[in-house]
Amino acid sequence: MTRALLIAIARRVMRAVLWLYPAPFRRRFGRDLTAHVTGEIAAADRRRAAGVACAEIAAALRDAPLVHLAYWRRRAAHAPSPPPASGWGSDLRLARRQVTGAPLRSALVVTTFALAIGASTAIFSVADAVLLRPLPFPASDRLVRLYEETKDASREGISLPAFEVWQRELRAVRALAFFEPRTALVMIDGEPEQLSGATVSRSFFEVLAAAPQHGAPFSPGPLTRGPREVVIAHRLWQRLGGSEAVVGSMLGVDPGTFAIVGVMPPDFDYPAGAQFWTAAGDLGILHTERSLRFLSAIGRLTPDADLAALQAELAVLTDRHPATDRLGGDVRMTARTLRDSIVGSVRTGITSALAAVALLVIVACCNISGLLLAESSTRARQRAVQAALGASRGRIARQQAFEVLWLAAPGCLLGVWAAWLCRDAIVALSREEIPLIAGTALDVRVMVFAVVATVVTALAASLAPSWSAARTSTRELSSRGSGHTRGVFVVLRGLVVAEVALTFVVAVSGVLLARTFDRLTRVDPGFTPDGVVSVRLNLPLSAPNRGSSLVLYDEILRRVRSTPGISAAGYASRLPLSDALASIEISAGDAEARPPVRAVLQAAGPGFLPAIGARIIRGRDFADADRQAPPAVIINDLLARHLFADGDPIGRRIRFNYFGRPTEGEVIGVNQALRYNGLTTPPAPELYVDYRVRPLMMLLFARTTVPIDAAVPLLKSAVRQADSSRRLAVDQITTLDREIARHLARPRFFLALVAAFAVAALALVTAGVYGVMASAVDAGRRNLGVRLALGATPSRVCRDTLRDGLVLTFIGLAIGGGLAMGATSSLRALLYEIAPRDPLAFGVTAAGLTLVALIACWVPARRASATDALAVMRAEE
Amino acid sequence: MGSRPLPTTATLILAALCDGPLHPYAIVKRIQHQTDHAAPLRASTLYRLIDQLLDSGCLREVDSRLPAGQDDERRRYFQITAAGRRALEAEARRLRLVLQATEAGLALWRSRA
Repeated sequence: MTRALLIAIARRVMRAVLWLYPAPFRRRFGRDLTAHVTGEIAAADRRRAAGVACAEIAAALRDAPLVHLAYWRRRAAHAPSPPPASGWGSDLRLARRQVTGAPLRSALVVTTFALAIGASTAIFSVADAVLLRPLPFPASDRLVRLYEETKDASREGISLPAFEVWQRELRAVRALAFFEPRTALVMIDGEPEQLSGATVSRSFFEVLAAAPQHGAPFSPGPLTRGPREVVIAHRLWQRLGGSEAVVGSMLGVDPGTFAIVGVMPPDFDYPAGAQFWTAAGDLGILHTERSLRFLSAIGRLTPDADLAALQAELAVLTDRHPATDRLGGDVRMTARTLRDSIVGSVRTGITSALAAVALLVIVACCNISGLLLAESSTRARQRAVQAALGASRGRIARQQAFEVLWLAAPGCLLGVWAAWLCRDAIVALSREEIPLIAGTALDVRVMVFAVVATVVTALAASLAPSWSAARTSTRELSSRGSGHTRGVFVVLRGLVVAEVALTFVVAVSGVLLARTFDRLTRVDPGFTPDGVVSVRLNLPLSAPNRGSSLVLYDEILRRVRSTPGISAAGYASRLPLSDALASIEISAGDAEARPPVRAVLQAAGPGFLPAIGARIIRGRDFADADRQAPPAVIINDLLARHLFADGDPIGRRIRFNYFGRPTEGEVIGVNQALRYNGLTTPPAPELYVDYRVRPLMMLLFARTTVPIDAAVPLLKSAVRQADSSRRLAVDQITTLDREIARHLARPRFFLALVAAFAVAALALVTAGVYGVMASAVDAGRRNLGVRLALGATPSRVCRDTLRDGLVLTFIGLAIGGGLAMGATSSLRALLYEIAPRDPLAFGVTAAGLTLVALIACWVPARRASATDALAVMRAEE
Repeated sequence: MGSRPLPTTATLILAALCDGPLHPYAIVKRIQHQTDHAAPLRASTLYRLIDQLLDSGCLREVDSRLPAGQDDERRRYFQITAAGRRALEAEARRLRLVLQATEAGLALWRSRA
């Protein structure tokens, strides 16, 4: 046999053998392999050539199954699509590939999960801490506060006679106690320091069922006798050395010395911020005078009574012991739970935040549903093919479920982390403003609920189409193309409408709060706060007589005024904006016809009004020379108008009670009204009495031309130089800017909360509208192709897609508008000078949402108009 | 992945390529030369292993050619990759251990005999 013939035969045989190999291998190496074999034969010895040919062919036959095995392994390792091996592992891997294959969609879903779980857990935990969790007292739901409610609804105070009536006659409460918050100079290491505390009845700790950590509560005994005892807070105890020996030692609490009998545990904080509780001794005139309502009362209900029973008893007692306030209005005895008395003022804010976060979670669920449903629906064909190839319905559902889990697992982890962050941020922002919020702990139940709710929603949305797809025949599907079924289409559009509607409600609330905040920052408080510092000069009550106090105050003022960097200074007895109520009754001294009116009383000295930048409209400020009787007074424009109508008030007399003594003052000036009761309460009548008539604990106000931090040491050293005998404690250093900020803090907090939710909801709705519109465009590609083929212009197609999205948005806005009309009225307590149905807020929100929807529709619309008709038709064949 | 031993022939292919890219025929020649024709390397085995090494990233196909005239236009050249070099080193370590164990065992046998 010639070499050439041998080679020709070997080549034929090799070509045949190559058909036993996998096609890709054959295409890649077939020619080379054959050439290699013939080359070997050609190169072999003449005698061995036939043997080489046989060996090569035999090897090729032997290698074929090995190559098949390698290719099969390779396919299994990165198979791009089902059906292959059954088993949970492969389904899990397949699901992961689906998730990582669409990174944008997956990121959206994961973020939505995190947002929903994080925000809802954090807010529900805060609400739980503030509104629901028992107060840190045993059986705290049985604790109540009792009030004597007067006509001006300032229901803080009660009188001692009323308290004694309650003690004698109330059956619904087991124990009663009163307390009076106060501040006093406490001697710590020989230095006087102003601390908050309370004068309390001996039953105080018994009512709260709180036991001292060291020592004992007050010894029981008659109200009027016994040693002067004080119980101190854990914080103060540590400053005093923190040893057991502190109990039994003496503590100077102005105006006397008390024996420390007990130390409360660190978590005992009632009334908020109190560091000492002194047992009340003889309260003198308070025992008989029902019109002096300085005390607060707490009680513990008996096990078989409730608040309603107590209210009923109090109503009876109101009739049996009638009293009138100074205006002649009836005094009504009433009660509410201790929690209500603590958190009542923030309840609306917290519940609004709760409502906002609930809406946000619903929007998030809609979003997850929409994204997964659209995706799941477009894969209906793939699933139908799987079903036709023998995959069971359960198997297909399992793959879908795994896909949801791949998205939910990182989403939930991120959500838990986000909840921590949110809680920390919220607590840090509002620790000062919201009672009880510092005790917020993440609520595991709420977290589990949020996780379960979102995951179940996602599973339902993802599985619904696959359930129906498994029933759909392949033929039906191929005739329908890859579009959504009618049902899915309706649901997707419904979800968009719902998202838009709910987002509108959250967003409009945010805009209303923002408008309120804007109004608040523009409120004219009647003074110019920039650069005004105020320090409190604590003259001990037990200290000096009137003359020496005045000399001291005068000396301090003289030194402060000559300090460089201070342009004006003066004394007054209270801070502007300090929640002072109009409490003193004023009548015109010479025109009896006018009814008396209540005014805010302020003791002030020369220079106070100019120092804080208040405006004197008529007359003049106090002067150093006005020391004689009758005392000079300044009134504000409201009081002047009320008492003297349009007449000139300067030089006129007014009558009022000053420290229990009927007093007649001469009006020397009229100032423009300031705000004393926060920023939102309109100004009330004001009366400024010359402080030199009766010097008390005064605040020194100084307008500085240097930075505050530099001015405070200057002020302190001026006071120190004047007060050589060290009788004064300087404390409560603040600035009027800070006071304004303090009053803005709570509105700012709720605004920040709701605004954050509104922004989150807007982001979700953008993603939702985009996702649904994009999937509608993808799914409707065949129709688009047909339309374009029939002559529709691309711009027409783009317009129609936009219109489609906008119609959904408008329906959503209409529904959302209706919902918001009802919902925003519950925000009323948080709004200021803005109506709950403020047309501007509604308009701005609607416009903003429309714009967002337009942007979200734009990309899908562009894509729709860029559809290549021919390519679509071909792909569908 | 790297822990699985390479087939002996695949190791030889990688070793043959350490000097630079070669075409399959040259690989066979070099291996036969290096192993002193101990075992014939069949074409189908060669291409099967080249295919596997390509898939696992130990080899890549290159355009590098010999200087004009010394080269057949239709031939394909293969080059060892960094992953291939690492696999080869791992295999060398493994074989060294095998060799040590083998020789230690044989030395014991001889000392007993």
